[in-house]
Amino acid sequence: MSAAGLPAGLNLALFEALNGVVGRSWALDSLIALALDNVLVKAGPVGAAFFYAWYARRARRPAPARRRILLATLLSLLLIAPLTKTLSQSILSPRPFLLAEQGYALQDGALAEAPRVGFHTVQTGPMRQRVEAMREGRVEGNDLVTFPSDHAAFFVALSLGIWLACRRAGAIALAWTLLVTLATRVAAGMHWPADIVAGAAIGAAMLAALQLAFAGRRGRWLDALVRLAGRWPGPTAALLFLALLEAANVMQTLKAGLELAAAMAGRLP
Amino acid sequence: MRRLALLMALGALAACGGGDGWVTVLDPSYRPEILGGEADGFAAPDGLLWHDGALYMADEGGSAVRVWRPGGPVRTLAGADAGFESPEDLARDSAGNLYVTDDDAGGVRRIDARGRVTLLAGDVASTEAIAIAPDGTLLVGDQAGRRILLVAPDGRVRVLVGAGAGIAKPESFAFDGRGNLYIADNRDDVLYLLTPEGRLHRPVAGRRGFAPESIVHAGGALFITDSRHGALYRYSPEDGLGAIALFAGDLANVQGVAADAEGNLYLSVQADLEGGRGYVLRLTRRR
Repeated sequence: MSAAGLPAGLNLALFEALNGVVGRSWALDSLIALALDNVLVKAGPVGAAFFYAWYARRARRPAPARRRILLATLLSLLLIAPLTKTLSQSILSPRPFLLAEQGYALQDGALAEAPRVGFHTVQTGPMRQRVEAMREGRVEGNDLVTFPSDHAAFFVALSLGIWLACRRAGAIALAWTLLVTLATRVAAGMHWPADIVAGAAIGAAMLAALQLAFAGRRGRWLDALVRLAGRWPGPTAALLFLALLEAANVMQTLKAGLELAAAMAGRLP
Repeated sequence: MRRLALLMALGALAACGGGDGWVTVLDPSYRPEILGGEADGFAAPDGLLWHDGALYMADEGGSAVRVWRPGGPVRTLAGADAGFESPEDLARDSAGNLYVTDDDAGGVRRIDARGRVTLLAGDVASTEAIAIAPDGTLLVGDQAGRRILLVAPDGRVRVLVGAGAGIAKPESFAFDGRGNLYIADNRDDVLYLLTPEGRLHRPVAGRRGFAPESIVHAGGALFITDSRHGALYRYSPEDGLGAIALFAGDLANVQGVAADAEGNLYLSVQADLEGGRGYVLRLTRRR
């Protein structure tokens, strides 16, 4: 079994099936590259679904109830980032494109040569540059490990939250998340299917925990926020836009800001 | 059969979590192996030095200086009772004295051939890099003062490169065959080059994903560890910077590097500095 509970054979078979479409067509690879790195393609429809769920006039749930769910959903995203980061640092699972190179696994105090994973590289876009950079040894700090997928955790939590608020918008967000945002990450060799499954489970669990935590009277302050948002629709839309943009970037700006602050603190005399 | 092996490897990797590590070798002329871990007495070493068939180690996690010869046990040359707290790096002169820096205890400790320990430059609060120049001069990196110091045999200190030069943290030194001194600065992530004429250059600077930790010059090239990104690089002015291997999991925190006469590389890895847990790896050069 893999770390996510997905059998290793199924994990590999799913990866090979999705990665098998890569490298055959420059046009298809370009679309995959867009879905991987272009924020509008990767996350635009999910963000649009969020706004639809927030502002829709005709929906099964009344607007205040929907907005309360959506605010709790945004809060869950704040907790997901440190959780997935901590797990990825404590569970070793090299990215598929890394396992395409000659690798050695540390087992019982010795290094054992590992067989290589068959891997097709996308023909264009930043992912190709990333693989080439890795072969030259230029890697980011967290570029080697992959479990669980923070994109899966973020986007599944966001899409499920939208679905809880508004079924129609949520169905579109979920479909886009699974078929475009996440499937392309496996196809391009960024993630194993098991990483996606684990990330999605973490996202769903965190969303459920926050929705339960703020259910009923415990979430009265959310109702107050919703009323405030109703009184100030312009600033609310602006803030939601910024929050969703940051979520689409899996909190990279927040992370960079924290790193900058830590670096500046480290330079203080 | 290959697929079965791949499945088993993936299953083992996924099932083990936390405690294991991974090495990706990008230069196929090297093959990595573990020489030993804390159970073999290697603890959590930082600086390494290969000399005359022996590997000397500044064991940062174990507050000691140790030596290992292939086939033999790890021996302790000096420990906390000699004043070592966090030994960083070491160098050896032609008389057989070993000089060791310490970023917590400060100063430079000289271990002579009979094992006696003498403190030099004791007023330098935190020392990092160390090297012996071709003329026998001892050079030391002063972390707090952001300087490179010359330490005379009697312990007197003179500034070679002052704080105004801009070196943020002189972490490691290596001389090439022409008298140039390479300096690894792992705070500003710059590889400096100080020429014999005193000119300071920056051969590698501002490169994303590059933070030099320890350096050694061997066989016409500079070998560089990067603990922040888990990487081992080779650099030469002719070929530039290229990666030899990447490290992940328990092996990601690669620290010291040394080279033997056959071109084999030795790396120290600190898996858990506080817990005194680490490894020493050898990357054997294939012929």
